[in-house]
Amino acid sequence: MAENNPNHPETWLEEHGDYLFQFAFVRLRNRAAAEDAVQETFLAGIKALERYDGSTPIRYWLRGILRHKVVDYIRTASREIAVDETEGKEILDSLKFKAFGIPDQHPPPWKFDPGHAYEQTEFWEVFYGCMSKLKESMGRAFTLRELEGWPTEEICKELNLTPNNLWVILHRARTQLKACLEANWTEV
Amino acid sequence: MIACKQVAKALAENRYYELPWFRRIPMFIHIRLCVMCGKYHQQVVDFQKGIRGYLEHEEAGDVGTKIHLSDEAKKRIAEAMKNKS
Repeated sequence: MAENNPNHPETWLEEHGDYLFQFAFVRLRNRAAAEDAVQETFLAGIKALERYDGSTPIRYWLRGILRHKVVDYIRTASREIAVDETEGKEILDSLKFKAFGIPDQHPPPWKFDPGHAYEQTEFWEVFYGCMSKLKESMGRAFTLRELEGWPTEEICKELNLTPNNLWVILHRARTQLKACLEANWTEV
Repeated sequence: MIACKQVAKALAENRYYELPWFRRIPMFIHIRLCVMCGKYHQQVVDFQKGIRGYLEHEEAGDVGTKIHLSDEAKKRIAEAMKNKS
């Protein structure tokens, strides 16, 4: 019976397990945490299955639950890690940042054309790999801001950061991401 | 004409592609012309466009990766689900 019903929980692990794991891993950058999030998602899904109305495919319904699990993990993990108040002080104290809102040094130009790369299907695998390699601490802010689109104010509240600290973290995340993309993407 | 700091603030608080066109156009012009912050903010916009592209491909489920749940994790999850249902 279960095999014939694509929405039956018995089929979830095989059908959606890897997709959901991939979704969680790029946001958490921690294998064990991503596995736990997938497990908790399935368990919450079983509990809430009566409320599933079929208006969206079950995969996206489960993904919606997973989003909450990811944010819950980030919240808990952030509470356990003390924020370094001196983070990025040298950037924030620079005259250029105070006057123009940018760091002292101009970033070097791209080693490839990003517009062209974004049109290549293979590029997204590299992009995924590089986002997954962001350090966990900076990755949290990056996930909430760039992948989940949270407002700055809310992120600062959740992660106990000032807007300037958040700006520095995102700046560093982009710098790291750029270096990784340039090292791993070859223009075709 | 908007100032560099306004561009910085807008890009720190919003994803470029989600801004309404009447906010995007003056920013676009500023970024193209400004010798002070143009290069920096162009790269911020490039990243945000890249992330949008990634999210679209993720939504469509066509980001090919080699990452999978381990057999051990699958076993553990299957067991937990069995106990729950």
